[in-house]
Amino acid sequence: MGHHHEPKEEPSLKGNRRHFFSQLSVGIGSLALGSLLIPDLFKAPSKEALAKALGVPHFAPKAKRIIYLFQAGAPSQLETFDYKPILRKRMGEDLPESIRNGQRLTGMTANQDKFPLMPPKVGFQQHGQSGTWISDFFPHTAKIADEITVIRSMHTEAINHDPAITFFQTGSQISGRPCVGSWLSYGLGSENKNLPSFVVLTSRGKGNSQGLYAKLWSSGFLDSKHQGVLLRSGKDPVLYLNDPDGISRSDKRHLLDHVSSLNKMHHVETGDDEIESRIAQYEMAYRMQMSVPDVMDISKEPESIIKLYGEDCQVPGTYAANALQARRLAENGVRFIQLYHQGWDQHGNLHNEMAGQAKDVDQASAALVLDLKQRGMLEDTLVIWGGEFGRGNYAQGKFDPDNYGRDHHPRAFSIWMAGGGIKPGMNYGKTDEFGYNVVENPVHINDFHATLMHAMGLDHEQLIYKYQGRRFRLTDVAGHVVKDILA
Amino acid sequence: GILTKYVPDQGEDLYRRSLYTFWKRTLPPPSMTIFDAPTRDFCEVRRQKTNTPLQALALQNDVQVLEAARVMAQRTLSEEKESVQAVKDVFQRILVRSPKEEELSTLHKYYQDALATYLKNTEQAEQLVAIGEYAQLNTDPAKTAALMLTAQVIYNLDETITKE
Repeated sequence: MGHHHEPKEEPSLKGNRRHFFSQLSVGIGSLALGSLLIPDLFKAPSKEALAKALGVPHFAPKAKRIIYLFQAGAPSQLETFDYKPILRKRMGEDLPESIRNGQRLTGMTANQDKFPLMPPKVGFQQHGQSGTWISDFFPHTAKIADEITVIRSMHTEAINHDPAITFFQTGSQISGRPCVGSWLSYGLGSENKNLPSFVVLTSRGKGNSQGLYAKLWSSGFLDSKHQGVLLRSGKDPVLYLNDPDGISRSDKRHLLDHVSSLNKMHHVETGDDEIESRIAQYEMAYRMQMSVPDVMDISKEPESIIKLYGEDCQVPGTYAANALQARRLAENGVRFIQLYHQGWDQHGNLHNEMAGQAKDVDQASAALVLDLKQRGMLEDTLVIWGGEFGRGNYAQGKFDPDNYGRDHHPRAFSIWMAGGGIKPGMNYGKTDEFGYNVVENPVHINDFHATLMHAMGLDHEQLIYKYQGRRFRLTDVAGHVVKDILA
Repeated sequence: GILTKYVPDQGEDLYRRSLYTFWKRTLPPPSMTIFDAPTRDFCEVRRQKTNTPLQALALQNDVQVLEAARVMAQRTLSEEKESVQAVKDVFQRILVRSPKEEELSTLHKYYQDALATYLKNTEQAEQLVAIGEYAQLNTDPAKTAALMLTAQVIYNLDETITKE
């Protein structure tokens, strides 16, 4: 069969290089070496040198999990939560320069010589005891006005979708960093042994869509076990989840048992702990083959739940179906569940498209909050609804109040949050009369992240990772916790 | 649109090196990113060496590995009729060393168990060995299925996928 050159066995050397060096870093020798490199190593710990232990919250959390309903494409705040009657009074007038104040525009409207103010075609009402203004596009969300806190003073620097979504997901417009879900997985560990701690579900409306990229649930420079796992609708909810035809479940178990026993033989010989880790991952994969289809099976959900979310929730791949999945995943201990609904990029035909988009998400989003509430889960689940930036108050392109579009607007937009540590029924932050600038209580994305982390029991300044020679954190070098909205 | 799908090649083109995979920047090939291929967003000086359940699933269920296991099983069975030697051949081809006593007896026992299962259920065996576009050799389906799964076991070992 050919000549095989056998490597010389050295049974006396019971470790290998990898093992040897990984052990060295925790040996006595390293302490001595450490004190030479870091003279303060044995001093009393200052705020900087004291690294918090991973896997536990820094202080008592209010929320144990987050469901982030990301509306990709950027829904217009002027047609959702920010009611600005002056736009109707001054419809068609040019946006005053004093208001615009040099805001950069995208290439789509930069060449317009006029920026005529455009009012929303949809009406607004006040709802609940909190008197929250919500547009008529969201009748179901209107009913939960007293459960949610609307933040109207969100702002960002990013003006285009990719950097803006990346900013919301990773804390930076430049890609490559870990996402919120990954940071939380890194900081808090996993609650569940059968499912990943960070799951992503996507859906797409009929409105104008922009792409979603795998980097939005990437673990960046953190260990890739913290990456988000995309649950797809269709036969293979997780890529490669299903065994090929011809292998039964018990055949697969049998195969894995043998992989495991041979790996263990190898482990005895080399002492390499990575092998144990790999065995554990194989077991996790086996469990996921059962647990994922189980979680996604909604056949036992009662009729009342189907009605609550709307019939769409039985159609895989829709936002409503994903929202119902989100609740089930939350029940099963998944810590960060991200939904994306694409199609909110209304540069034209805004009224009709938004009506469709809103219809996709309104009932299910409100249903999710109510469903969690009736299960007693709302108090420790943080639900967030929002997009990556806002939209401008002037018409894009031709001026036609019946068929208008809005360009991107980073300086002011609205989101809502509910549950886990958030004061219900609150309105936080204000924009100017034109809905263009934030005038009260600005909340930057970094502040948003700091607040999320605070709700989860983490100090955003303390959860760090050293990479490229410096300490990184989700909020990087910024961010303040918005204490006023926290219960 | 077309940018969000990977379309497998046909025929000869399917069996080129992975080096020639068409790389879509916004959707890097999942079989590669699962194994820590850098996304090319920024310069990665040291590649991650992670260990995830998604990798386990890919190695068990990706048609690339299953097909390789099937073809190897068929080729080995065409040349070698004796089962212990067949298992040994597969082992040596993959791990470039001879199996130890304990390893060989464990794997051979596995082969025999699998063979017994598939002899009772030839339809399942036929389904399994149908995997992959590569030309089929005319070997017994039950034996092929059993040796294919033996090869799968070896492909999934830590020693096979890790370079020390």
